[in-house]
Amino acid sequence: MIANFIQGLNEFHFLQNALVTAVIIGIVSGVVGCFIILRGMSLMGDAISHAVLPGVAISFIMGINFFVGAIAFGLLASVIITYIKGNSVIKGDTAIGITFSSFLALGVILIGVANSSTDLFHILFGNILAVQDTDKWISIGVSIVVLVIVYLFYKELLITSFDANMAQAMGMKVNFYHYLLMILLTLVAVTAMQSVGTILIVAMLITPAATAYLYSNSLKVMIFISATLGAVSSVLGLFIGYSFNIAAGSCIVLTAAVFFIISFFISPKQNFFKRKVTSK
Amino acid sequence: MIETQNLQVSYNNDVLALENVSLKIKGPTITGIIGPNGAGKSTLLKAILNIIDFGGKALINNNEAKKELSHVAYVEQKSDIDYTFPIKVRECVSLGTYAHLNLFQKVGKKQWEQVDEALEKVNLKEYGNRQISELSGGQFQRVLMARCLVQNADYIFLDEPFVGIDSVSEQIIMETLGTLKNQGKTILIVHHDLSKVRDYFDQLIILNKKLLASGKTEEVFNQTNLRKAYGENLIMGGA
Repeated sequence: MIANFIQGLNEFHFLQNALVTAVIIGIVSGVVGCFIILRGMSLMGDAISHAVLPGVAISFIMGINFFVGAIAFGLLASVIITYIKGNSVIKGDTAIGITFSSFLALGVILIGVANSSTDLFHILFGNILAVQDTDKWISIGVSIVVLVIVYLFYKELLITSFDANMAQAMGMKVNFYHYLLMILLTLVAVTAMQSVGTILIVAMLITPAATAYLYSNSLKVMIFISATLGAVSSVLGLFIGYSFNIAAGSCIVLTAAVFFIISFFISPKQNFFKRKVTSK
Repeated sequence: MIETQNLQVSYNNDVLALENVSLKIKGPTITGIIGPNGAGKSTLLKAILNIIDFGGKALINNNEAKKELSHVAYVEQKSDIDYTFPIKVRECVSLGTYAHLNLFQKVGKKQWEQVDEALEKVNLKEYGNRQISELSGGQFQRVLMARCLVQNADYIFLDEPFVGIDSVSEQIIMETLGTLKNQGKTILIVHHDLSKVRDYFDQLIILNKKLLASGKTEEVFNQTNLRKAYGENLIMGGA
């Protein structure tokens, strides 16, 4: 089976593209995901990844690069959510639910109207095996941009995630970093759309990060583990999907989930078995 | 000098949390802010720090407080901080150095030396590589104190630093603050345990939505002012 996969890699350009793109997406979503879960924004991550859909559709209609539309709608959604949360008695999770479901519905309609060659099913659930050369290069480019931004603003992202009040009291523009992260999130969401699809992007963002969180006592370690897990899950998931001819995106997500489940029981922070013993 | 003029804070646009608070605090000092629960003590700090919106004026060094924030170190209530965050003690203290770093500048050797020095001052040198969740409440408050030290600010705002901590930690923090005052710093502490007010603070602000009294502790810390703040049923520890 492994030999078959390696042979496929040698033979088929589409499989090479798939592998490279999946690994890149695994890494970048693992990195950004750390900040998402530490800020308690997992739901927000889900929302943004769904909200980019109408942006993608409109980009197709207007014939522009889909990143442009996606970022516009991703940001619009986060502004709307933040606004509803801040200016009414409605709670955050409700604001997120209303916003992202509306955006998703709008996206589905617009993609139908756009009548593009891109299949709605592929946008929703990903189609890593159909990644073209240009998509691959765009993914690599975007991922590098995201990683460089995280590196440059690491200090600021750390302090605003850990202690936003302190950051604000220092005169830092906490809101700026909130929206910076939203932009990164949107970029990752659009990139990851190709591998696992809009519906499952949130899994790539939070599952490897959550697993890493169980092992880490510093943010740098967490980011490193999370990125590694994201990449490894992508390779294994793609391998399983290709070998058994089943949906690769879903395999990637489930592989990441398996890592989480194992870690949930064995990680030192969870201390699952020890706790069982002491509670007896 | 810290000054507020008719400072006003409202929640949900109608409930007033602070009403026309006008005060002046001249350093060096360790000033206590006391008052019952919901009196707006923390709110006062947050307003001066521009963390929340407010009406009126907040001035530091006769300038808009907003523009002077680089001279202020703020330690919020430790219960507001996420203990489970993956950050080690040294890293947590190093956040204080960010105040003096430029955008894109990383924490360097000089900053780490300051961090270790500060940890030594609060007696936590050997804890540098622990995760913050492995500390006791008192130790964590000392970490926050160390963070404050590396920030090297002229104005230090502490919100309930003595809640839920051991007496050793409390003593270390008080000694550190005493040293800072002697260096000329202005320290503002939100506090609720009335028994130690006389020992800890040279100036006092008594608050209950409105400013009820402010001045030297021996002058304002009396039954009359405390009744105004806490009502008739006050049981006084120290007075």
